Amino acid sequence: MQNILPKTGSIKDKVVAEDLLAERKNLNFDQLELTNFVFGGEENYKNYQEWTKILESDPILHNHHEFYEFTREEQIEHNLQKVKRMYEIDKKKYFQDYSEGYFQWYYYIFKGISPYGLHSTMFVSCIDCLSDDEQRAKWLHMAKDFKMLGCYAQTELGHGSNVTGVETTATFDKQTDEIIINTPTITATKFWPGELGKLTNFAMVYANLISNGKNYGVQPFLVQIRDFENHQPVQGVEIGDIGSKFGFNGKDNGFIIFNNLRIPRGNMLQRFSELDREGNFKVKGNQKALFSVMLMGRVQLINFSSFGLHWALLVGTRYAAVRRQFANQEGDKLERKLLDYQTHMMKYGPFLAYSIAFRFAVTDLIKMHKKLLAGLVNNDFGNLELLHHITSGYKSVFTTLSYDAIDEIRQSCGGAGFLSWSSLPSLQQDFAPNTTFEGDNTVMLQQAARLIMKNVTLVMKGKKPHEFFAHLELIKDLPVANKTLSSVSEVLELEYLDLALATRAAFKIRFFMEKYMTTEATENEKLNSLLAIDILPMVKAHVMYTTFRHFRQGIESNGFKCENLKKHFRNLCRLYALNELTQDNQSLYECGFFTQGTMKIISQGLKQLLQEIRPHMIPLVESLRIPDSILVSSIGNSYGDIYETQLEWAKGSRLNKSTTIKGFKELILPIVNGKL
Amino acid sequence: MSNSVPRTGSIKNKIVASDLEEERKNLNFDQMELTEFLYYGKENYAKYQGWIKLVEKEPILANHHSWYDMTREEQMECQLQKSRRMYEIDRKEYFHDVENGFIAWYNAILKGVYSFGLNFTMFMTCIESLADDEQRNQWLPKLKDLKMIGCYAQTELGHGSNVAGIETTATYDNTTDEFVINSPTLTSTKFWPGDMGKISCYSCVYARLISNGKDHGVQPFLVQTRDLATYEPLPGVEMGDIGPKFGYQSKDNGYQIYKNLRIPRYNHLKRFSEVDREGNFKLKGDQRILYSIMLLTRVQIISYAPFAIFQALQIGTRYAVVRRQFSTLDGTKLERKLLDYQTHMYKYAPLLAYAMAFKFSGHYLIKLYEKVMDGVKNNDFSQLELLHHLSSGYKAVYTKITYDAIDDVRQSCGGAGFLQWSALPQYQQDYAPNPTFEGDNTVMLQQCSRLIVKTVKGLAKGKKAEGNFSYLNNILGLIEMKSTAKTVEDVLSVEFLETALAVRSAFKVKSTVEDLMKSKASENQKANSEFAIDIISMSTAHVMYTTFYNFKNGLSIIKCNSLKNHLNNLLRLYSISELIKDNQCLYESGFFSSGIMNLLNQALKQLLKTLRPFMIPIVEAIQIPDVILTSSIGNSYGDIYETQLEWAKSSRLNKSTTIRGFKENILPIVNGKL
Repeated sequence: MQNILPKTGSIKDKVVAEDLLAERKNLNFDQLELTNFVFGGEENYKNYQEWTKILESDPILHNHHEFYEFTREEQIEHNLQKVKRMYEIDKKKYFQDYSEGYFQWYYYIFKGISPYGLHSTMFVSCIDCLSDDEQRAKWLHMAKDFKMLGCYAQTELGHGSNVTGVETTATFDKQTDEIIINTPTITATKFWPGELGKLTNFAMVYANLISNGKNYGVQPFLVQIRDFENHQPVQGVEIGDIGSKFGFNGKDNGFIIFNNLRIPRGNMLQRFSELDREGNFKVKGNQKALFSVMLMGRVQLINFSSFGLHWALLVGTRYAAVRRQFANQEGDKLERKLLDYQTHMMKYGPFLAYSIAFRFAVTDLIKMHKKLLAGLVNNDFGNLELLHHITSGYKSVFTTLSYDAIDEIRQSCGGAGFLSWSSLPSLQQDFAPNTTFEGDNTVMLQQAARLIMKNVTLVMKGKKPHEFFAHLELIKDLPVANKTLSSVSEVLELEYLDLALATRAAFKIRFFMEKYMTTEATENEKLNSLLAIDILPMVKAHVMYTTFRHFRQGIESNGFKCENLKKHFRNLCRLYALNELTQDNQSLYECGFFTQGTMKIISQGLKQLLQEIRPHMIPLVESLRIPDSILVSSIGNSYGDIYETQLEWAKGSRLNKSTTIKGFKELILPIVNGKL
Repeated sequence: MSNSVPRTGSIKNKIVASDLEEERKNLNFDQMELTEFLYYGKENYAKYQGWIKLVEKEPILANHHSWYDMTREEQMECQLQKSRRMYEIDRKEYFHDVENGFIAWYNAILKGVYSFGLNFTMFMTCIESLADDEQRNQWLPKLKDLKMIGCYAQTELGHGSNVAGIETTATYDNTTDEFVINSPTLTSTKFWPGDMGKISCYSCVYARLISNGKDHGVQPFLVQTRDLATYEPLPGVEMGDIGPKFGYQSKDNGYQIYKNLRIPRYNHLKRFSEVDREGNFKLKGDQRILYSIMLLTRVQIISYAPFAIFQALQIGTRYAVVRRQFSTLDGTKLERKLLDYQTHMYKYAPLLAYAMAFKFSGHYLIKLYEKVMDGVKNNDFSQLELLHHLSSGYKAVYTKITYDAIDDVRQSCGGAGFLQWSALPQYQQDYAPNPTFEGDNTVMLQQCSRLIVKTVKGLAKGKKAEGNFSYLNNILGLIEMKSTAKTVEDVLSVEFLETALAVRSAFKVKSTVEDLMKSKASENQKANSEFAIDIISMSTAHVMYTTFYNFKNGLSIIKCNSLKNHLNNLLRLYSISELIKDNQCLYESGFFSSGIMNLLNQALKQLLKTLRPFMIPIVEAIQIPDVILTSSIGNSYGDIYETQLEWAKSSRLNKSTTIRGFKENILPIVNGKL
């Protein structure tokens, strides 16, 4: 039996697959309004379009699928060529006015990792935030003009998330008015900083300041590590790349060992502390400002969690709308589209809901962060503590969920997703560090727990919590009175879902707090050993609730005009909540919010939503308008070309430059021919 | 503040980290008994040790960390060198007597994916099972001596799991007594078969047999694809590698396009069907045997799952007892070992419990497989259906959990686990195809559900369920049960846990089967659209219950009482983890009620605490030596820093102090010349 396949797409012949065309016809809302939203605003989207134009017109900047086959060296070289080209095109825009330029540009547009991403974010932020005015005036323009290329050298072989464990020393030598940097132990080796291995000539080194025999704790120092003229390592440092990785292979994560490297005293960053000529140390200003550097990194990771997941969905959903397999549809010889399997929608529908939920959360978060930064200038630390809580919790929960979702999407594309050509492997592998770097996700959840504990304590004392924690007041009403659900429409009400998610969080928080208050052990033991595993689900449930709240409120507060779009948002918001309640509901049964029979109604509600959202999957997902020139995917391109390009790229691949493989004729052919 | 750190290990100086040494002192059971169990018996383990000795003394065979830095071409060449050396050393043992040789050897000992893996599994099984006696006698010795190197060419660009969708044609030409093989469409391109791209010179091609204008369905054909003298592709075949992948990079997954390629009629594998000189087609023998090929592969995949978790755990657990982070211990300046964080134990101990559960299940399944195959030889197909059910369900559930487990272990090692030197990235990347190949996991769970539904329908007709399924005899009783557990001890009793897992599965089975029977939709709609997610959930719960059953029953062969005690705790931990992850049905059925969450929580914590001291002795029972493991952080010395730094220094990018492209592109900017 021959299979009857609808016309599949062809990039070469500019033919869009019939199946994809049909899906696009379901568009019933203002897609551009959604596009602007997922790109973080109309202005951002315009920038993005402009970058795309430059990229498409410039041969050096053009992306090519060969990138997936490059060795690490080739990937880095390729991206350095792109950096140079960008510098030639508009150095002011792309390298000096960072806020809307270079970094974001790379982030969205290039394959692989931006060679100077750390320089442009962590390093420049350090100079910007931690230097005093004089230092800033001297260094900032050098850094922004790429005269000084820097990395952020905090992590050591022995210590990552734990900054206070840093062992590198910076000893003040009064005689010469210099500071001597040393790596006293093997574990003090700086290990991991991106761009340290090959690409930078300066490092922002975190080291213990020792002066007059006294250790003043960890401080930042600006250290030159390579010569300006020839880029050779300076005397007193041993430096290199740390090797191949699971992903992020276009990045030269590096190590450095200091051996009596001398720097001027003036290279200690002195906005928040100072060392005088005599070696007297003093702290100045408000140390809280130090947090702000980390905050920015986390906000970006949270932002990327939504974007990365959406990217994977764009590839996966297009593939699933064109790829057909098995089970003929009723009365039809056609095979079934992957996306018409309920199991497939059960993966993709909720992923879309999460991606949009994260987008709403980050939209609020960016506003809060901007407000905070504006305040800092006037020493107003306003919501710093809250922002610290939110960014740690969201960073942890969102990056883990997005990483897992990208992995699931890759797997759901079967073999096609396993091939690098699909773009999904590199997306997953390059996304992978987000769950462990910039604060390990387990540690992050513990940090986020603090403010919850503080606020719940207020509630227990009969006081009002911060408004962000208003749902904690629910703990007073637990267990709740049994409420029997009678229809599916009840569980689809946003009010009901809000209460369910809030109750779930409140129950877990109370469950933990009761143990915390009655367990007799030290704080340390309680938080790390006895009750640690209760903290994580508690924080996660809290984050999932507040994320829902951003979503629900954001639908109304962001000024969306298109009513149909809002309708889709509401459905996705419901789907987000129902999926959560399907996955983790023990607390709700325990406290009586759920009762026998709830499961069936929730399951029906979920299935109903999947069915409602199904026709709109392509129009919704494609709102993330990533053109093929940027996506570079054999199965996720805009033509629904899932076969032709895949085969073309396969044929062109590296191993096919000769008909056999190196070593075969020498080693194995003699065996085949009986000559051995 | 400088941290006081206990002595860390050093491979170079042969010093074991003091933290690791301490942990090993907690050994209180017969570790060798566990080791031999994990390796399927004393004899197998002795063989494994023999191989290790060979690797240690043969420089070509030795694993080296530079492997992690190699390109695909280099990895493949390295593998070919190893194969060649093995052939020279003992071609009889490693190639001719394949069963215990080459593949097992490669699988257990070497890095990466073995070059002729598909030749010695799928291709060989095809010839063995699908060729008639004459064909077999002719081809099998050649294949085992690498005179004929083959691949299994089923999957096409358009069709993977769905064999019936294959489009390649094999048209009988009775004027020349030949079959003409063609790829009539783009989607009919053979795509994915391992060993196809570069290594093999034969393909076992699945194609539609067309004779006298009639399509007789998909049949296997032996097709030569390369000239044996020059190894160039034959006219009529276009072939190559399909490109870089998420993992499995040392495998030449390939494509082939046939254009009027002619093969003798004789090359149609004819144990189960035949085409005569006139082109008349007839079936012969019992077609059910065709299943057995897939089944063997699945059983092998299932058996490999626990080993894969153990490999990752051996690395992760050693790292977690030597790596210390944050000063959170009372009364000391020492930082806390990762494994002394409850959160870390809650990652590792359940993974160990699942690995052990899979191990016992795998043992049961292998015995069942042997029994079924013996039966098949005598035309007894009675347990084939059961084997098909279990192997599809276990394959889906175990590979998914195993893949996630390796990923979790990798992530829990932070940056160190992200580096290839740790060995974890490659374990994950090379394991990754398991959930999707050899039957996509979603499809597998649907297949698994059939026997469950059939069994329940049988119950209504008075047909009793047996073995793994016997809990369903009491399906109505189970869903009416109320838990009487009041204390942590109650919750930890094996009887309670077994009942809870049985109730959970029974509830899902009953509710799903009822839904399926009630709905008026077509079978197709029910299975794929209306109740697809319920079917998956039901199959999974059933698999988790039967796995418990296999684990519990398997314990009787363990002799050492302390070991049995640990295994019993792991059985409990497996169950409690399951009940914490998915318990909605238990509340719905009324088996669980308010307050049980707290008991489960306490029971879990108690088990984690009880198991904690024995993590290293239990995990190290897998006894993978450093020469095999090749890990910067999981070696037997607890050397987590020195080797990592050494290997970093030696890495490829450090062959010169700058990197290609820097001086040309960036230095002019730095120096203000641009």
